[in-house]
Amino acid sequence: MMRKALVSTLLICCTIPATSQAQSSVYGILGLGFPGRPIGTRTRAGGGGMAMFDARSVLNPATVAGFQRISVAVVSGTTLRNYTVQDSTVEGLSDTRSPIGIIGGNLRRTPVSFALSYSTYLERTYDVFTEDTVVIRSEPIAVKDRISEDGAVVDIRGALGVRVTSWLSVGGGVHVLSGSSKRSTRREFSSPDYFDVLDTDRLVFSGLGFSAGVLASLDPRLTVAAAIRSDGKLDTGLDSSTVGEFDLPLSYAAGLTIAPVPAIRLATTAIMTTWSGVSADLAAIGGANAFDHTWDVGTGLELGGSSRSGRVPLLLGFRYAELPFSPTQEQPTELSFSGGTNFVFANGRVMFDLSLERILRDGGRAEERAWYLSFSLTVSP
Amino acid sequence: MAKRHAWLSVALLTAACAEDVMAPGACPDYCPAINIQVLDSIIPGSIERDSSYRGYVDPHEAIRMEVSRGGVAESRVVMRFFPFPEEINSDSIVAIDSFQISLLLQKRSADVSDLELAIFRLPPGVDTATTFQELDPFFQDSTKLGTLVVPDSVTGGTISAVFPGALLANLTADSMVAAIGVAFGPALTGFAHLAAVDFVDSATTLARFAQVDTASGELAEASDSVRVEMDTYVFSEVPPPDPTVLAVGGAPAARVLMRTVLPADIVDSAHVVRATLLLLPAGPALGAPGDTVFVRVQPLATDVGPKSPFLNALEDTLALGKADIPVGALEPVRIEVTHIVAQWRDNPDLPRTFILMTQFEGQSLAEFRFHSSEGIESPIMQVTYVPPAFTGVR
Repeated sequence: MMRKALVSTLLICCTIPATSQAQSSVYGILGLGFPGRPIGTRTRAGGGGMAMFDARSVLNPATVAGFQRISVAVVSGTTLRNYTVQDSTVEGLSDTRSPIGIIGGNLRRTPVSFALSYSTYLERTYDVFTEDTVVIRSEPIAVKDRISEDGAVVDIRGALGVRVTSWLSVGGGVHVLSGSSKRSTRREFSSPDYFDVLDTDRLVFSGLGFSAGVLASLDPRLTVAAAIRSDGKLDTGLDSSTVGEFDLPLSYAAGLTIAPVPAIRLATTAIMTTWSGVSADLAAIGGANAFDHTWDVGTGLELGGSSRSGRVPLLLGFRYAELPFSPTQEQPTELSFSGGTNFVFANGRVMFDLSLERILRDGGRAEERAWYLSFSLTVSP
Repeated sequence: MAKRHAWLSVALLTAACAEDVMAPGACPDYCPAINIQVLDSIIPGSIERDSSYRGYVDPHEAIRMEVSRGGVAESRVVMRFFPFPEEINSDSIVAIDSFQISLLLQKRSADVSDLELAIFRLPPGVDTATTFQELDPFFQDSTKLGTLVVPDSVTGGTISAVFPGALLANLTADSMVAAIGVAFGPALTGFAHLAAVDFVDSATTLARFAQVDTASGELAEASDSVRVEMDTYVFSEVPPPDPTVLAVGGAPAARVLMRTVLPADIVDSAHVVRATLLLLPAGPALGAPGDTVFVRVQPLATDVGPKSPFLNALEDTLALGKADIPVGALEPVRIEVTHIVAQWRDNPDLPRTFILMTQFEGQSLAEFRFHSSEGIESPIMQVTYVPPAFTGVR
């Protein structure tokens, strides 16, 4: 059995992309990028409702206290999507990314646990091409442009969680924002008199943030949680020079879990993120329209008991979220319906999570439809 | 359990293989905020310190020689052969019946019918320093050996003419050395290019056909041939260019060294997608009627003046920056030099200098003359460029 667990681990490690990136979206072309969802597959299956209570999600550092032994979790997600912008429809896009990975454990003979994780903070991957005709030297010349970017702002979090009492945990985290994005622009001229242009560079991101959270089991059937996160400035650099500085948002999150019976658990998480600082910074340089704040509310239902009960649970979820960037004054929104399950092997030392999500994004004169398939493997040696 | 693992593994692998994010841009709403601008600029004063240097390839070093009439000058080919042996195959010569001269034609006027080349006997002392004026008295009927008629269908290859042996009767007195001159037909205007010994040493041969006294005492027919020891072409005077005029081509071959002064925000920062050198002629392109001046531009590895080394092997770049100028043309000449200017951005150590030369240096009188940067009709660069597309994050 252990051998199978190792094979699964190797498989996961070999198949996930090297970079930490979430799914691409047409909305990710705008502004600073597409905000990542730092949650695990199981939480994603439940619409994100469990995000404030899941140690394998990077939202509430108090959940780190839940690591009672060394655990490693990696996630792989594949997006299949189509989008329509006005009368233009694009179909058949797909990509696979590793949006989150985490390792956590407990400091021996203490109530203190730790976790180190990476997750996508802002996804900046796109690849678009256009065709046009330009007049050069009084002659119309057909051109083909291809503009792409491949990279992300990555959130590397170090967090400590303390189980203060049997029902109360608190935690804090330091978030180092890093990552880079390779940008490429190619223009091809139809006339052989003109040389094609290929321009590439690499944006480098850096920033620092802090988070704190609390988790309280007020009753065996009722758990509540709250967290706050503040990210400072995001510096964007090109080579050794700074080319932009953006005031990153403040996030407030709260969650509630109700388990009327052990086999049924209902969870909700709500996050409010303020983007007004980014909005001002983007407005100053004539960038995309950023909204002052976004809401992200997810609710999930888990049927079948806890993951260690030996039964295969069923998770269902629904989520509503607002997106921060738009080319118009209309704020895009995202609805998603999700489901999933998980499997436990090796006496609970290996967990495999699976989720499938249908995502509907609308607004800003565009609509996007996507399927998101996510796997995660958690190993506790 | 094993079955479930296999199912999961297949699902994982399938998912991990997918990757296709390229899509047509939905502009302007969902296009990256990157503006690819194409700018075009005619840059005054973009050429400076341009100079013309002559003498890169002399006529006797060229691999082709020009025979022409009716152009900027008349050009004639001069050849001196290796000495004939006094005997043929150790048999003494009784009488020389005839000679046959064979020439390798490489190019000719396409629009001249019944092209004729006149063959003359020259004094055996001709050498590379002999001038057109010194030889002119020998190009007359009394020294004419014959006429070589080139059929209109022949555009290249070996052409031959036979003339009586008596016409080279003084061969013995000349230490068995024959010298031949070739002129363009007197009633024609045009040109023919003949291969020189520098191209292939068997390009031209002179054969003799004789009666010999064999060892058995019987007369027999025998022949032998000699190759060219020295060949060149001479031409009547070509008027020199004015001091403010630059010349490329001609004979001896001339080159022009041009140094550019282009704004740093174009050459160093932007992508040059097209760069054109504009030259204003100082007169009609010179050369034989029907000929062409094949001007080429070469980038330099370093700028040390007229002997600067080329950046690339000549044959690698001859097909690039070029202008084929018909003799007599008066129109402004545009030469694309994008392949040269575009690489200066990534190789800042390269000199922003290039050399204009002709593709077939020293092989003809074809020459292009144009105004230098000293005058108001200075050479000028027109550059089309794309400034850096990226700025920061938007």
